Amino acid sequence: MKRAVWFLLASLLMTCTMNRSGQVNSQDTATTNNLEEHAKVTLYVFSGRENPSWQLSPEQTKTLISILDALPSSEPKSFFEGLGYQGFLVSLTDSASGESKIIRVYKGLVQYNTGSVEKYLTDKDRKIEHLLLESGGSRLESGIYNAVERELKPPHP
Amino acid sequence: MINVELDIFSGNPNPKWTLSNKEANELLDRVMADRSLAAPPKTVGGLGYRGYIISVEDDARFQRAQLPSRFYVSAKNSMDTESWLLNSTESEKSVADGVRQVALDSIRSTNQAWSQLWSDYMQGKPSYPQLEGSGPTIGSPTPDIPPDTKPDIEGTVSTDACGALVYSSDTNFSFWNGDAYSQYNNNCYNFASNYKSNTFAQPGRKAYVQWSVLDCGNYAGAIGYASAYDGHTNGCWSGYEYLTCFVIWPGSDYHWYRLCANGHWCHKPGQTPARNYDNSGYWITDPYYCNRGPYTVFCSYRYFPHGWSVV
Repeated sequence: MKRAVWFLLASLLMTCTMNRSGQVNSQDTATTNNLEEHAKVTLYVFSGRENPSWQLSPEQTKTLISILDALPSSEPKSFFEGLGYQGFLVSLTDSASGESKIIRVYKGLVQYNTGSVEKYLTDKDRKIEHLLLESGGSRLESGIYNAVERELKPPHP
Repeated sequence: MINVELDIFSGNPNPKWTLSNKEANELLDRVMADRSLAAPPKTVGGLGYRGYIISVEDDARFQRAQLPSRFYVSAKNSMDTESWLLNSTESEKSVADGVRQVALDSIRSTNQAWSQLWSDYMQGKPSYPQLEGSGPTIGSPTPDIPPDTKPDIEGTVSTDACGALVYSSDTNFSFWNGDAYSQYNNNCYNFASNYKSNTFAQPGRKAYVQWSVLDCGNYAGAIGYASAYDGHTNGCWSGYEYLTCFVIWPGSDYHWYRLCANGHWCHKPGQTPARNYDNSGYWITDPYYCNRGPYTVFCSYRYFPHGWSVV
């Protein structure tokens, strides 16, 4: 009897803990449970011409979100972009609710905006920018792809 | 003897030739019919085709007509005379085909663009000019004339020639950056024209001659040609102009700047915010020498009438 009560209490405790963790995750990261998200990417690179844009595949979207979830927070900073490569903008739309989140990334700085929440994250290895550039692939003019690829290379020591 | 010099180069010597006796008589007839052809130049400087320098040597006819021994037929002064001079006999030996084409295109595009636009304006067509969508200005105070520090550029902007040069603030860009919609839907060309169309405006689109070639030139399809049709031309006529310039990222894109207050140039790189600094973070006092990133080709300066639209 005592063993059964302890087991029941332990189960309840574990359930509460798991719920609390799930709630924390959904508040602090881009991950949402049981939802499909569509991601439209725009490469900010031109000044006069329209910037190229494309859709991410579901797998690429999941990868993007998992990378975002793992990034540490950063202090708010300004994007100091200029002529030439200016980063990426990703518009994440929840297919069920229609809600949009905007992710702006440039030189390892990520700005994540849900409309009500604005957070800054640090992507030291620029994984998001690499992922997004690769997702552009053949949609991008080779000269532009190569120019952005050069921008993403780490500086020579 | 009447000598003609095509004023087109900045570094190389200009092409020169001598008019035949018959052509000299015709030039005299033209000048006598329109004395403004022999006036001193109204605008000085600018890259590319600028007009002709006419030198008169020991010609009694010109002396009797009390014409100056040296005068300037400026670009946009008279399309007919400018074209005629370019086609005079001896010019074929002195002017290379490519140079001739540049000059001809410049004569045709600026004069065609302006004569058509002026005609439209005088007929009250609604597209010219529009003030809705125009960005703010700080009026037309005594302009700051940019210093002439560039060895390849001759002359400075003259207020006597162009009336008032119009400026907006070199620090307040709220008109462009104040809301996301404005920022994302207006590009460098919108900013340089100081006109917010929210269409990510393209050179030439308004006049159905949208650019298709990433080139500075004044031939059909090139940025220089297309933007002239919108109003970005080599000369001024409205008396209330912005000073702009454009550059090219070879094979990839174009970009425009506009002169703002205090001799500072400003710009808006695509969907990013408008600003007054270059890629190094410095004030832009000279777009020719500033850090333009991959936009390595400097094309030319242009004038654009305040209140005109781009789409």
